[in-house]
Amino acid sequence: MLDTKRGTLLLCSAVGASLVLAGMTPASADSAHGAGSAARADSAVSAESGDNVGELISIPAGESTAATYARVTRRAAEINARTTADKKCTGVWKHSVANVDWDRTPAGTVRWSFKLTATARANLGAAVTVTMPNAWVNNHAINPPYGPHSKASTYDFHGSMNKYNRKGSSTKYTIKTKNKITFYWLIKSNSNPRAGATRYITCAVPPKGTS
Amino acid sequence: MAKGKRKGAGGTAQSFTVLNGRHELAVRRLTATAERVELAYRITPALPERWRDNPDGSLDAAGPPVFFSVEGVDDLGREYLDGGGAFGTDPEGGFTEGSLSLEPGPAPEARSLTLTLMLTCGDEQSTHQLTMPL
Repeated sequence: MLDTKRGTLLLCSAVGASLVLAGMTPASADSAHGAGSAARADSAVSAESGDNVGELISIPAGESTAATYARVTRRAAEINARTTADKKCTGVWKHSVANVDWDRTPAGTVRWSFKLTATARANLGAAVTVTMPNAWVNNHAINPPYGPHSKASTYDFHGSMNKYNRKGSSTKYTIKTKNKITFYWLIKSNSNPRAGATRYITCAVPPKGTS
Repeated sequence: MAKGKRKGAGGTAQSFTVLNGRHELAVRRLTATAERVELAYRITPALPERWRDNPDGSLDAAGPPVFFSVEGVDDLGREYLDGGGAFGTDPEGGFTEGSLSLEPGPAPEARSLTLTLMLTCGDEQSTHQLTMPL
């Protein structure tokens, strides 16, 4: 049965989803998160904010993967250096390239789930390879917590981070509340070597158990 | 098969219920390379769709957020970190297919890997441990 107090978006069942699709929930689905609704709505930030960036890119003909990585890495490093983590990594971060959901488990793991928009999918084609060329914690470059995944562009791409290594170090660090984290995703079309997209988020690690 | 690739045989197949018994997760394949370990799985019935397309090309929430994470430790005590993954619904809508990865690749002398999977779908969540031969 539907728990109307908490909202159907908390139901993990095909029934709940089909009722949502049939229009039986509030017009703004993001407002239907019960106790978590305020945080989720508050963290839905504008597409043009410096901590929430993305763009469709055209990859020069013949450019090697390494050269593309180097180019987007320079840009990501520039953005990271000038961007502060003013918002928590919670709720949904909307953007015309991809929406990203965030939470932090009670044990402290930050998790994210990433979905390409129809606009991005139309540009990228049916299958894509998603990578994370760069990531930072408190402005230290780290080994990115996302390996390459080649899947249908309609898929949800997800990852998590609790422990991490700074680049060039074997020491394992654990993320802490209020750490600044920056993730930079590169999405390349599998069918068109010149089509790609980037997605960039800087945010602050929320308290444990936050969604 | 790439040189040095280790692929789980039929003996690695495992199925268990997740998300308070609402779904069953079946491990379909475990593949290990020098760089990573990858686990392919299927969840039945399919997880609800999180997003639906708007006519303007943007996304609108249609279902609950779904989070999937994994960590691992081998029989030698070496830790493996979440390398991310991806999942999607099959065209008929009957199941969710996906894969997730851990990094780094296993040590050559490691013989098994114990995975801790954490799955959250809206208000429901479950944690599962499974040990897979390498």
